[in-house]
Amino acid sequence: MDPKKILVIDDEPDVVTYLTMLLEEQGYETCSAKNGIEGMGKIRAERPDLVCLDLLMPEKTGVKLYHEMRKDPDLKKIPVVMITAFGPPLQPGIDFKRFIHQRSMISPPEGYIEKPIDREILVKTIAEIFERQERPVT
Amino acid sequence: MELSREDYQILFENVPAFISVVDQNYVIVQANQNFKNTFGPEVGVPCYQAYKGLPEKCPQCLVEKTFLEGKPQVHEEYGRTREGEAIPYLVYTAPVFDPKGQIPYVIEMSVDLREKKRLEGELRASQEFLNNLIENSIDGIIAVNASGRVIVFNRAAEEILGYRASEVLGGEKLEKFFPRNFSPKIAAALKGKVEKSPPLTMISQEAYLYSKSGTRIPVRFSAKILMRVQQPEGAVGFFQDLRPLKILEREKLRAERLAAVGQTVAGLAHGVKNMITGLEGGVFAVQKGLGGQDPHLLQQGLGMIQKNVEKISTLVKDLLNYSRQQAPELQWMNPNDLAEEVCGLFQEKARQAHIQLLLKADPHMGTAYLDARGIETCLTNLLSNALDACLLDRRKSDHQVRVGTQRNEDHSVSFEVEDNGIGMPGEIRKNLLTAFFSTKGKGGTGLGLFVTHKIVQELGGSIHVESQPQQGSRIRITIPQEESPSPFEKNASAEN
Repeated sequence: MDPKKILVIDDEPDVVTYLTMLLEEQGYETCSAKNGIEGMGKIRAERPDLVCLDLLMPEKTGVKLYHEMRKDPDLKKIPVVMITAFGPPLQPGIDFKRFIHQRSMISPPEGYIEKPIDREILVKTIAEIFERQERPVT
Repeated sequence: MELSREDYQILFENVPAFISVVDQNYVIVQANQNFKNTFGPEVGVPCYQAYKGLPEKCPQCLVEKTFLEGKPQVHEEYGRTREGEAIPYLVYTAPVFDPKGQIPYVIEMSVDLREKKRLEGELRASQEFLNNLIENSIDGIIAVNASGRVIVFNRAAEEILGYRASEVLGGEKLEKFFPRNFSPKIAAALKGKVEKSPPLTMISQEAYLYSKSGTRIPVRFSAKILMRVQQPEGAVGFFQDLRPLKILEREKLRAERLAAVGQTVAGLAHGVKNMITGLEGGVFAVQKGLGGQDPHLLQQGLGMIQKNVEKISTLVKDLLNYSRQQAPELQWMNPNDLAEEVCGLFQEKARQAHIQLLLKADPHMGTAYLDARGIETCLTNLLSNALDACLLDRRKSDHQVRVGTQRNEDHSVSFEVEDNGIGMPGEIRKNLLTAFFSTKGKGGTGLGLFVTHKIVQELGGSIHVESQPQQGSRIRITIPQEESPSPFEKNASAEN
């Protein structure tokens, strides 16, 4: 079976390096982008099997990119794992999930991981996503 | 035309004065109607009895003196009306000569002083009241007369400025107690060179006065020319010590700063998490490199660790620095020297990065009243950013950072740092001063311009940012200044 291709989008180069190393060690193929615009281009060009997405980026934020993906019939099936430094409780007053999911009008991401990244959780989350894809939907 | 005897009689009876004529025994032989109405019809009674109710001649008898010297006399006396009311009056005496040159009679003409005394009393009471107001005012009140000499120096003025009124009244001149830019106009107005009516009023929300010990005191000052019948008769100044307000201001800024620190910690979480991820990535790479005997991976991992350690370190240092910061310490210093020092600090780093570092100092700068440590922090921050901007810009290789100082026309002082590095897109430039750290591009290495902005704000100054992506940036800090040290200020000379 062809290895799964994962696209990593983050404007912090060290994070990209790290995730790339991590995922390649797991046997995945990787590609990367450093902002929302480049990310969108790569999604369409490379057709990854999964996208690891940072949220706060220049040019186009991860949230915008995520909404675009979900609204595009071509792209909405691609699973997304958000990997981000944002998260409660350190951002009081922001209900983050609601902000991203626009009150459930957009489906939630398949994974949501907070930085600093726990390697095991990341690997397990991605593995489970691919596993669910293989299993028939009941 | 000569007056007839009847005319004189009319005059005698109706003149608005008391007239009595006494003989050598002080007995009243004739008196006018006014006298009779006031003291009683006491013809045939001695004058001391009639006027004062005394049993014998007054100790300093004016009439006696008149008889003896043969010359008119005048004196203020106190008597009693026939109703028993005390009555002050001014008595004029005149001797009457007979053909032989003897003085058989003396005429006493007296002016009723009751009304005058009453008015005097009212005036005194009114003056005392006003004096009370002036002395008890919380604000300092200083007034000068038309010659510019101090005639009012109230208690508040004594307390605020440290002079005693007795040292100042009648002596000192207005330049010492009015703000520097007010005195010439007031002096001109007092000399009659008024530009236009209404009378000159000047108000400053923040001016400076100097205490006896030469300390500069910030005040709110209101000055007015006092006019009387179209002529300037003096000037008055009202002032309020702003130091308590300034202390409150400082406390507020300090509280804001601490609050910002609290907020910053939340904001920093984002950057710190990225840096920690970078560190963990580095460690991961090092582990893999060691395990797989891959020196390249080892190198890469070590690099990641080093870079993120430095970033975290800078961030923590900035944060600690910022929260530890004291209120600005203002002093007279030389801005050009400071700019030169800071450039010196970056000389080596610039050289190694092949960036040309230039300093253009304004030769007419002079000394300025600034927080040297604060400005140093700002310049260091700006220079560091400028160098980083050049380093990040891979499109050109000919990089330059220009530092400039300038004394502006309104006496304010400006520092400028210009680079031809990577520049900033509009979004980043807009949030530059308020974001706790530059989110990306530079990699979130510190509190950056947020701190600089706070320092400049606390000095009452402003920051101007210009930037074009790929072309470079220019940042200019301007701090307002008074003209030059006042002659009344102690320690006004610069340190060098």
